[in-house]
Amino acid sequence: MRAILEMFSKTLLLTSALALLIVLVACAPREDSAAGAGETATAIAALELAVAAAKLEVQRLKDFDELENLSGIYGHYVDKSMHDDVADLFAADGIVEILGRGVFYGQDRVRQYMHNLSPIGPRDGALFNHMHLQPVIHVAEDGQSAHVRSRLFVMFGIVDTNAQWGSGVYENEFVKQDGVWKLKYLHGYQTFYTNYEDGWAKRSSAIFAPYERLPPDGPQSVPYDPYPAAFVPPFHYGNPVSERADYYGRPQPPPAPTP
Amino acid sequence: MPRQPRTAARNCRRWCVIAALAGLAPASHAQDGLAERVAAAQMRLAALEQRAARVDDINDIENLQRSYGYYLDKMLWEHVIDLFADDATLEVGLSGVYVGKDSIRRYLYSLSGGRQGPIEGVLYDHMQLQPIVTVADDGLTAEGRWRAWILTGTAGSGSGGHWGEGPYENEYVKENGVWKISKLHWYATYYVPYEGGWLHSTTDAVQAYSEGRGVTPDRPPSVQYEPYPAAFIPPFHYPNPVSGQ
Repeated sequence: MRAILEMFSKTLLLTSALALLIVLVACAPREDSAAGAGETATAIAALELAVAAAKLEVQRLKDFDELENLSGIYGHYVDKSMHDDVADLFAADGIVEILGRGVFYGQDRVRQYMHNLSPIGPRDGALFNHMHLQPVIHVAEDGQSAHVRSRLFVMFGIVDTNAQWGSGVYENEFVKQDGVWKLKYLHGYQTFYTNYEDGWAKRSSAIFAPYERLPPDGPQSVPYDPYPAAFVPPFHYGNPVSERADYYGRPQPPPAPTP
Repeated sequence: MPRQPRTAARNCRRWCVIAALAGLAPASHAQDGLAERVAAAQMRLAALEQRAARVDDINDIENLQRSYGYYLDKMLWEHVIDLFADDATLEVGLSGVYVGKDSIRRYLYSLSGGRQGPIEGVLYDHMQLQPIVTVADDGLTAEGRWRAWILTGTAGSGSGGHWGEGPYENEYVKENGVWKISKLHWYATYYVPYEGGWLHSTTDAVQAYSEGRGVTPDRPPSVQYEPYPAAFIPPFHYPNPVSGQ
């Protein structure tokens, strides 16, 4: 059924254009009433096609909002170390790559990665805020995949012990399965992590290396150094006006790495 | 990975709806009221299509302004300039008004010593937050209030960096189906050193952050105001959405 629907959506434009031609011909003024009946029937057929096209457009708008929600929801779960809820947002073959920790393939490994961060659930005395901001959302024309660039702003803390700022950029991929958007590839680029006392310009962390206790399945997919080095996290999209896609020698992010 | 197919296919889809509806002459041959019902459904669908198009416009404008932020972060000036309409204006804090793409280009490049692209040791992050986008009924112009939250810094300067904050009141124009920035106006609330943050705030710091280096604007600032600690409300482009006042 899904395949039929997808095929329908892809052929809709052609069909609509064809129907339009037929309608324009059929709608040429005539005097006899038989022609009037034919005219109305053709009008109904064209109307049905127009409804289908409008329905598709509204679905893309809904996709946009659902992706914005999903990006935000991820952040709210991470805040509270709800590791299983985070992992549940991923597709079965979902991929996670955060900072320089390396690449983890599949939802089971995503779950391990999340559980490796801390015990599950919020803890007294620990702050783990991950604000997800500024999403740029593009849904593929077939409505089955999407990309979102978003901004991460982090407040870490252990009460009375330390406090930190962190910042980064996500370039994430999503896939729609059985009508539900899921994370296909979450890729967080590191901008800076620094102590609250110092501020970002005085001292900031080098790229975070893979965890020794949880080695990744693959190496960091894009080599770079965070601030103070100069680096532009690759964009999934060309300039919204000029469509130019030359971003400092990195026209686009690499495709999701494969195991 | 494919580039975003942008708006071509989507515009075509919308065109199909509009054209299909426009192409139908109002049925003049009544058949038990069927023709009238068809005509009424055509009009309802056209109205719904217009509403969907306005929501789509808001999404496009949000993507546009957020992209402005990502390009500004990395001083990708040519990408920033591409986002503006030819006769656009730019006014940042106390910079005065730069009119047209050439002037905007002069201003932007002056901020980075004439070069483009990220500079080692320089952080220039401008988060684009809290949009209120209002699209005109004809879908050809729009206005947007936003908030910039700014983190800048220079490694080795001895300071932890700077915070900056303030709202935008921007305007947009749709040309050939593509939204562009026609007016960018950022009102500075504060620009302060990391140390102490907004405990202390001076107009001088806002001036140093926002004024072009060695370039002069085409017009003086369009609104006279002092940043924090002075009290000032950047004018809103919209009435209260509940009371209408």
